Amino acid sequence: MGFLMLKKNKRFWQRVALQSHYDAVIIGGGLHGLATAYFLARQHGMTNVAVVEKEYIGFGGAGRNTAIVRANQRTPENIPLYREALELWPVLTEELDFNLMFNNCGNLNLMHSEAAMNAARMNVATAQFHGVESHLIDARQCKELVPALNISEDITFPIIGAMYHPPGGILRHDAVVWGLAKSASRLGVHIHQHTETTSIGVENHKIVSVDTNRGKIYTPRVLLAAGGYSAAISYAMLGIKLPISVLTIQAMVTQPLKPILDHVVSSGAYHAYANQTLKGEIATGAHMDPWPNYTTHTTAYYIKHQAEALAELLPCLRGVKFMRHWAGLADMTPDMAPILDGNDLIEGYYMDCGWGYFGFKSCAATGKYMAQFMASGQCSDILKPFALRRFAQHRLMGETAALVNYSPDN
Amino acid sequence: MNRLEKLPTLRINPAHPISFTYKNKTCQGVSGDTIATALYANGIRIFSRSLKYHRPRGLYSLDGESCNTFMEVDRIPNVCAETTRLRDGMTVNAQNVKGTPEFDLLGFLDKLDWAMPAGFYYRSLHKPAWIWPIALKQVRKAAGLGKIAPDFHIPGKYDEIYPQTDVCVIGGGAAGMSAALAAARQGLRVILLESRPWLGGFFDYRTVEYAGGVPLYRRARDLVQQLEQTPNVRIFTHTAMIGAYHHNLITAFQKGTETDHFDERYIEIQAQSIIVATGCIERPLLFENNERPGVIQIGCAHRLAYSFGVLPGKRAVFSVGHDLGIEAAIDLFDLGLEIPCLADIREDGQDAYLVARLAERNIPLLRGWIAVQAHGKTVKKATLSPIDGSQQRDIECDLLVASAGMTPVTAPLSLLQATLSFDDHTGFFLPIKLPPQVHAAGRLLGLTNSLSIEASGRLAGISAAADCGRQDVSKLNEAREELSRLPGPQRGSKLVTAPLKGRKTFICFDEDTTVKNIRQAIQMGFDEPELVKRFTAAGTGPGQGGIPGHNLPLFIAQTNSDGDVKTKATTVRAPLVPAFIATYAASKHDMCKRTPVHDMQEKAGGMMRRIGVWQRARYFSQDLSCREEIENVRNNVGMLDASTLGKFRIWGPDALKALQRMYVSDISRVCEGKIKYSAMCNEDGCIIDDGVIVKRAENDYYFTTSTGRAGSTVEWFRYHTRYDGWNFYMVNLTDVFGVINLAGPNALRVLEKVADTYLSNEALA
Ligand SMILES: Cc1cc2nc3c(=O)[nH]c(=O)nc-3n(C[C@H](O)[C@H](O)[C@H](O)COP(=O)(O)OP(=O)(O)OC[C@H]3O[C@@H](n4cnc5c(N)ncnc54)[C@H](O)[C@@H]3O)c2cc1C
Repeated sequence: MGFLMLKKNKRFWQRVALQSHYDAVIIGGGLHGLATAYFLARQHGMTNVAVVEKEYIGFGGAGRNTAIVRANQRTPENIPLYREALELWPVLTEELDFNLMFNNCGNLNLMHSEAAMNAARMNVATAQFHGVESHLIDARQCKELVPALNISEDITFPIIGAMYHPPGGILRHDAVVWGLAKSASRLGVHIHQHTETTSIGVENHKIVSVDTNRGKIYTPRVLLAAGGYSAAISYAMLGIKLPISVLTIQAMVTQPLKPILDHVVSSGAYHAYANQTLKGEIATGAHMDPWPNYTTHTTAYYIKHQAEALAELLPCLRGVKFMRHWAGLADMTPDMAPILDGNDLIEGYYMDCGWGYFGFKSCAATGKYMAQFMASGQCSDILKPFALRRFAQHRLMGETAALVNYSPDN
Repeated sequence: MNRLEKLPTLRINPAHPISFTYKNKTCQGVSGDTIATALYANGIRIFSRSLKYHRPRGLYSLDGESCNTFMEVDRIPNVCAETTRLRDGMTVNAQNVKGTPEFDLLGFLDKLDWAMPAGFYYRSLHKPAWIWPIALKQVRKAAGLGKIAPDFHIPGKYDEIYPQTDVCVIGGGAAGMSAALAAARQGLRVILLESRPWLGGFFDYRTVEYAGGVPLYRRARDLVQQLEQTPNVRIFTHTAMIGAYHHNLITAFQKGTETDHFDERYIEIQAQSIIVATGCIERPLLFENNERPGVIQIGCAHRLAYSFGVLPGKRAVFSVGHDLGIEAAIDLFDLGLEIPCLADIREDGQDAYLVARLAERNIPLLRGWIAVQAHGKTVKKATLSPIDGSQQRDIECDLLVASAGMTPVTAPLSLLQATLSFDDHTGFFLPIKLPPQVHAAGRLLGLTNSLSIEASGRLAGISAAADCGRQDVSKLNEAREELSRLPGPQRGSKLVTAPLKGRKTFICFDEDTTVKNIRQAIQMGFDEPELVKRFTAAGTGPGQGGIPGHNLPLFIAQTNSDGDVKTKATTVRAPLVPAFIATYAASKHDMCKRTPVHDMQEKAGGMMRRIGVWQRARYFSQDLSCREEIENVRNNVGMLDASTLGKFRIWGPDALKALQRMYVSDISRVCEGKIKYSAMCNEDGCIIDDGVIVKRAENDYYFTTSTGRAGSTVEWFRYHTRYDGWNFYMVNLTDVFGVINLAGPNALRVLEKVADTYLSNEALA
């Protein structure tokens, strides 16, 4: 049982007084904020860093996501970042000495028409070109991987095949938050919970300070990593309008079961994905509410919709019960790619937001490069395509094949 | 049949036996039984094994707040035996056991708790790295409760209804019934939801006096009768409220009985005003082995006898913190239960009348005492101690009736966005701010006096009526005054845990979380209730907050040395009672539209595919490359059913202006009788739609959109012209016309034939 022996229950993170000066202030104790703080301290020796979190760490998307990771995105700009993120999980598990519970079970993205199958060919080709394992399989092969899958013809959207991405999978989302916070704190980063940023001080186009409900902090660098709240903060505190729509996104889990689903299964036509967590729950979600709002309220419509979808895709689950249903915020940009930028409009002002419903999978790699950016002032090539100016320059990324509707009209 | 038969409160019919199979043996229950009461009557004490430690677990509350009695029934996993009605021919089996519930091969895990402190899995199994993939498989196998087969098909009929009502009352106890009657008497439509199979709540099984010599259960039956005679009240029993959403939308599901046409049905209720009268459950008492089979709550013991005719044991020690415990002891003693003593956490404040009746029966009352430990695989002995831990006393028994006090069922209020705050007097989280058109009544407010409970129900009913336009000021004042004259909320016991280390003192049964685990989590820096919950998993199992919901925040507030941590409840989430996916999905009619050529195309061998709300022929070939079809279009002619495209007419003085705003092209350049292809963009400048625009006459156009946009185009136009006050009309003609697309070198010739006229490219230009 040696591998089970645990050290004494030391505090994971310290409670410390808010200092008046930091070399960098990170707004948001979510995935991206904590990852950047960790890499600043670990790889760049910047330890005089504060993470300010208005609630408790992981309160935002970090504690609400379903922790699906993959690297088979559509565009050549996106894939390298996600690929590196995917490769980082085992590395981070070791570095943080925290079990992130990476289960690289593979993802099946179901296709329900020949047209969709054809469209997926491009994704597969792009992924393979970038060295990411991804291929197409037919309905029968899907069934072999996921015996519970319904591949009959008489459902609303019969399954034709799938894009199969073996290296993807799931993690334990809380573990990532706590592991990063623990290591960042031990390296000297201050994590201030219940500390809300209320304004950002700028002089001569340079960041000088951050005001919080617990006091003023002088700092030359600020990272905006407030998830769903980023666009509001950016506009209210700096007057910078970000092309971000904030929508509610919901997810739910069933009661825990013994292993029944060994892969992540997702379907665009059914607007549903499902995977089994390590605790045995079937986690499912996918669709965003079609109107912008900042509430994290669930809807009766959605849980029913999800039940209807699962009842067709994985009919045995009809005999399983939903247990918990929650919602979080998705900060969506028009091209479904994030805004990663810094030192452009205001010196010392960095942004890592617009992550929508895909900001879990990317947090490790993004944190690493944002830290490098903040420490050196130089943006690495991998982040350059994600600059804010792309919207003004009509250089949107084609991450979405068909445009999603999330504007205020419907 | 070993049942108490003469009690007037019984909810079973011993004359109607029901047989079922447990562990491959036929057992007998009676009509009215739940699976759990029938098993208990058959002498079964261990129902399952716990998740982590494989500890034996048994009947605890009868209302399914934990997964102690989750079983596999007719191949369906995780069926709560406490709340599932017994049916003839059921096959019941224990789950999460290797062996039998009594002798589980994994029982040794209970001894390994030292290796599994709070959140141990975050801190182990990853070093060296190769261990994780192996451990992962084992973790997955060990986790999870029930098993389901990939080809499993749950039988039964699942229905759904969507009733509307003026007032929806949640909870059919005395307060809820009084509220429903009061609202109905104002002439309103009322829906009353009750999760148990019958109305009555805390009154239903109790024989103590209500008033004027009438026992409580009689009073409850009177109220039920009044309700049944009120035509504008619709009663749903066996119906658990599961969700509450914006604009007072309530969801629930009902379990059918033999005479219903459904097994379960989903109910979505649109109400104007809501009354929450869900009463209380019991707050578990925290002591060593507090979840052993044989440790049961007060109401469970009381109801087993008075509703189900099963005397819960032979010799029972009571450790309680509420007068209901004393009342139950007296009632059960009178049925023949031996009671060596009753420990009451409270030093004083017990009801004098009840104390006197205890004394008449020579049951010693130990004030300020508490159970600190239960012994035996099923209870054989209890250790009692004063709450300061100064001495201990062991008492043999086969039952330990234990409860720290009451805890209000405020979850529906939380879902309705009420603000709850910790109340020092009752020790409850009580609503301090209710949203408009939401009311609370009864025991959940801390009331214990029967008359107060009913009066608060009436007040809520009249207030809800006022929400629906039936304002009756004098009645309202009368009800308020009546309530203020009656006894208010009672002081609640605040004791959280017995004086002990808590190595096996369970704050959450489902996740095997002990108070020691909570202390460990706090030591590691998880000082926020929400984080403690996540790190220790307390309250994240099948029963959600049912067992730890109240104790966890109390314990954290008490344990945390930091002064600034307030007693804060953790978040409540729907569904409040786990509900089958089959029930949520219910009848799900797949509704879709067909184009005018549907039958023709199907006959021609078309493979029909779903596209948005439509069914449409996707191809006609056997071979998926569709080579022949494609070649025919290239070399000859092909026809495509384009009827699903959005089709609109827009006209009126400002029609052109509206088109100019929506399309990227200059529509003013389209001449009468001519057509133009163009696109629409969203506010980000991304193309969202394309189609053609035909000018029919001045300010009168016909245009098409993609299939996906057909439903939202009128709104899109209206939205983007909302500030302009323009005058134009739009009709959606999508379902009115069929559309056929002709393509290929011979397209024109086909068209000529159809149109019966000569056509040339030039003529069409
Ligand atoms: C239901 C759901 C399912 C999802 N599923 C997946 C998935 O499967 N895979 C995936 O890759 N992604 C998924 N996501 C998306 C992912 O969770 C987010 O993209 C990710 O959390 C973004 O990280 P972040 O650090 O930018 O923001 P967050 O994790 O939201 O953190 C932002 C933090 O900032 C804090 N904050 C806000 N305002 C202030 C202020 N003024 N001062 C101080 N602090 C402030 C917030 O409290 C919050 O803790 C899902 C999201 C949801 C809601």
